[in-house]
Amino acid sequence: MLGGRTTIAPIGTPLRSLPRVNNLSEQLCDRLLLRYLLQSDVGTFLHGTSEPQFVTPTPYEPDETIPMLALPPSAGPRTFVLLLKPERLHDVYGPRWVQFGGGIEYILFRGFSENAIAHVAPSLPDTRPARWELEVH
Amino acid sequence: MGARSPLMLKRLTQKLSPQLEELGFEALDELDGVIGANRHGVWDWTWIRRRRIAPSCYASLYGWSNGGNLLTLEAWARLERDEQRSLVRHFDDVAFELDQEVQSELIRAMLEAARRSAYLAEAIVPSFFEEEPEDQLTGRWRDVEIAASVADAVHRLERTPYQAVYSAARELFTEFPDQNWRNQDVLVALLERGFPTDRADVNAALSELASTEEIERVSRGVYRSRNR
Repeated sequence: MLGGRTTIAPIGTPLRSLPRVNNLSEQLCDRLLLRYLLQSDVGTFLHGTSEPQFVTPTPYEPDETIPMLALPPSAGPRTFVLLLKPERLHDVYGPRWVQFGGGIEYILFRGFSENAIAHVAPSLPDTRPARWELEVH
Repeated sequence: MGARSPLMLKRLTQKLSPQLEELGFEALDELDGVIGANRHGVWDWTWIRRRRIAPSCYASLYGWSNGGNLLTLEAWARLERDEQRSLVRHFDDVAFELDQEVQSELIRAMLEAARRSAYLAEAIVPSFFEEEPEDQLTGRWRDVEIAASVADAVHRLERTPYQAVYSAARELFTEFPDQNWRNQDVLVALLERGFPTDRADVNAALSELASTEEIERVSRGVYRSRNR
């Protein structure tokens, strides 16, 4: 659930009418945001991206990703996910109910930086941070 | 496509947008001249045509990489919460550069998606019509006719603010805790009670009530009160 009686914008609310979020961590009650990926995209977002992205606070099983996130069925269910830290995200708009789906989405209008990706394992000394995609089961 | 969308596709959507605007559509996710965003691996460029009482129409272009230097593209016509949808065209193995012929085909497909979505909006017929016993048919058509006639009457009225729709929908479930409600049933009930609204706000209210666990989803599009 979203915290603080957050209003979720109805389906079809245009991006320019969505509120810009200034208290994302508080809204999410410190949960992470999820950016699901196609298998073919694994490895291509680990340095971040500057392009607009849809993300969601809700974890789904692969079979749920298509209906809940309004994804075209031909692309297949999502089996990988990147976890993003809300305190490292900027230019965030939302939340909004997903068109044709049942979930909630935020829009990262300027994408996300590399250091917004959550660690998924403790870093070992002298190695790069442990930031990579998780497989979804 | 990875972290960056193909430049030619972005340019194509810039070319497409004015043509869709002539059909009454506007880009749903547009800010500072940038249209669309990456929807969990699929580039999503969606245009919406809002209708005051009737469901909004959507025309969407989706694109994703096949893992190499080729794309899959799809043009979809949709209506509100995907209750009716139509895949207009599917393109396999399209080069990132998008030659002229592909661009023309894509534009044609998206204009068709826009036109078809409006047709979907006009073609709402209860799918259970043929299976229902005759004594229930009259009731179902009555619902559709009431919604249409009330919609005609209220289209000039001030639209009910979303919070009031939410409260009124919540009241329905409190008054009738043992009844199963479809989205359409809630819309008709609210219209009859003098709340001019539309399916989009009703759908949003039902989803919000479900998310706060005041109602539960019995099956797709059917809800009932949790306080029985």
